[in-house]
Amino acid sequence: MKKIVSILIGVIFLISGCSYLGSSPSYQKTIIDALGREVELSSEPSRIIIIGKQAPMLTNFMYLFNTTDKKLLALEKRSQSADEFLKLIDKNIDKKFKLERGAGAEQVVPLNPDMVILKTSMRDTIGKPLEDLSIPVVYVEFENADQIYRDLRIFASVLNEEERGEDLISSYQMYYQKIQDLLKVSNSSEKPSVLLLQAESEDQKYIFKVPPANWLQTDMVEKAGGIAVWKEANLAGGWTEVNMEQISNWNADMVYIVNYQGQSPEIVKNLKNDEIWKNLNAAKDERIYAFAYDFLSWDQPDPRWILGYGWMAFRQNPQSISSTDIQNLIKDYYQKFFTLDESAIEEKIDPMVADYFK
Amino acid sequence: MKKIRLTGLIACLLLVTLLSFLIGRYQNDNPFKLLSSNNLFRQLFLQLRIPRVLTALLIGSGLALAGLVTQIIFQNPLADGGLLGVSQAAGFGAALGILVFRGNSIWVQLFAFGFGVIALIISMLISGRIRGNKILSLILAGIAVSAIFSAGIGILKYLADPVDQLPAIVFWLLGSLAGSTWPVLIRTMIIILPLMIFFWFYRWRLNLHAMDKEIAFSLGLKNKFELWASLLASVLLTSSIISISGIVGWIGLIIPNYARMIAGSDTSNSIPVTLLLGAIFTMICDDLARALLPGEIPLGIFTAFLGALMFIGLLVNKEKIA
Repeated sequence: MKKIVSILIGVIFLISGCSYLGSSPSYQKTIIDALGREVELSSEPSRIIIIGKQAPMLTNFMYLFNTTDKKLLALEKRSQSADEFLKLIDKNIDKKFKLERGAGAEQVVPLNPDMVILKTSMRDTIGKPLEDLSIPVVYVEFENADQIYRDLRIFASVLNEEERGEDLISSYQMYYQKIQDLLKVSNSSEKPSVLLLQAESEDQKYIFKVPPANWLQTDMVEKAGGIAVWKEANLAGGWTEVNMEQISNWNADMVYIVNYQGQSPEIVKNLKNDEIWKNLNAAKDERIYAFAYDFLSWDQPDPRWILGYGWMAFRQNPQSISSTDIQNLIKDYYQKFFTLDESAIEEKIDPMVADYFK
Repeated sequence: MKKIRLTGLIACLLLVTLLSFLIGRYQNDNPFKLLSSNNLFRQLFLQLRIPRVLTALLIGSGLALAGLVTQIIFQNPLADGGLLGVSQAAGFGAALGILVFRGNSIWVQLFAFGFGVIALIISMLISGRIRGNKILSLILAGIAVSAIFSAGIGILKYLADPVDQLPAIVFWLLGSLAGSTWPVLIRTMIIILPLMIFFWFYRWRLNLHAMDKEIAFSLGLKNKFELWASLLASVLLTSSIISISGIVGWIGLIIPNYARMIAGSDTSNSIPVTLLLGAIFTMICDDLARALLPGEIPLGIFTAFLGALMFIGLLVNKEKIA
């Protein structure tokens, strides 16, 4: 009898012990993503994967948060790599899984992620198969300032760093306001006409493209106090190739040359020697500029967009904004946003951007 | 009557050429005045507009001529110079060039041309192993080769960098003369003119290919050798043009049919009309491609759109095709 009672007591202890082990600390969270979907979380995500279009930029945005280095599981290889920069802020970046470009559900699932981050446009191709496999997927956009603020809040919620998210947003808004205040004191009554061109080199020739009217680049040119000459053409759907006649017809006061392989200084040098380019107003006034670039170009939906905006404001309004204003902003930005110390900024960042202020 | 038509077409070509010189995105009310007063316009006109218009003229007449020759050889009004997988193979070669040499135009053109020739050789080797009608077996081999290279293009597009390489490949596959400068025009002339001259002097004997084998033989056609020589020259013409302009469809298919409607089947009449019509059609399409919108539109879009409309016109009046 004693034996039976002791076995029963043992079983009761065992059952109560198992039920205790099986219950996780109560964690319930609902995240509303950029598509307005409600994503229910029953545990805090700690194995996050970012893949698909603009994955390096989304990764950079996530690295604005303090716990990303511990929670990000894998990086996808893309044409514009953020790896060299990420090495500065995460010493263990090389130990993360590397996914080949175009990785889909079959590559992602074996890594057993508890959260996948994608751009909204990737839902049909990558997102839905993952959703069908019950992997939580959160969609973000990060295409303009408002979306950047909204999506930073989404990341903050995913990483459980709401306070950091609000800090980042208020810092972005503070920088933006600071630049706007500097622009307000500008004495210039006329805004310069501005042309932003993505240049791809092909042998000794270049192919030039302009961004759509609703993209961040167009918005940045206008907010920095310029007239985006290509906007009225109302081009949409992505970068659109324009020929030299159209560029001459716009004949803008200023031209920015963007190149995502970091070759824009070389391209600008060649254009200044070109017989047709020499006759453009921008060339005559020496206002053809290689778009600022450190590890990535500053014109795109990346955490550096605010630096691109500040740099454009300086270029378009040199009478009211000095290079020192923006160079101080860069230092402050990298300290505040990526917690880089001053010596790292002086050693790694400043040399890369110095020429863009000449 | 035929002389009047030819003179009319020559006048039309001159008029379209002149208008093309005056049309562009650089807007101006009086281009003649600007030429002397505006250095920017003068540079645009001399360095870009003239070579581009002349390149359009040359590639248009070349593609149309290649189409006519192919239609005669295959005795099929729906054939064109891109048959035998040449177009898709040239497209594959160009895409490979863009991927491997990051857009170096010389290599892209060499690869496009080289793979066009490879497609021809493969098609001929395959057809050699098929029993029965040689012409039919060549067409079937061409369809298979075309499909293989088409799949290859799909793979290269998948592998291409979506930021810079993929748009370049897609734009190239749709055809464009945006990169036409004097060196490109000279390169085009060096490749195309000798082949055009060959067909011009050979135009009398081309008629024989359109006849039954026995009749052609009795009239002195060394059938096999001349057939292959003409076919090779036609494919070389097509692949060399594609290597410069990208895949510009429909010109080789539709223009020869209209040329025959105007000038009849005799090649001594249809070749000059084909050359003129091809040049006029391509210049008009390229004018639209470069001047209609602020953004450059791929040339192949207009040749396909206008070509398809003309094709519908042909189908509606099909008794005239014969």
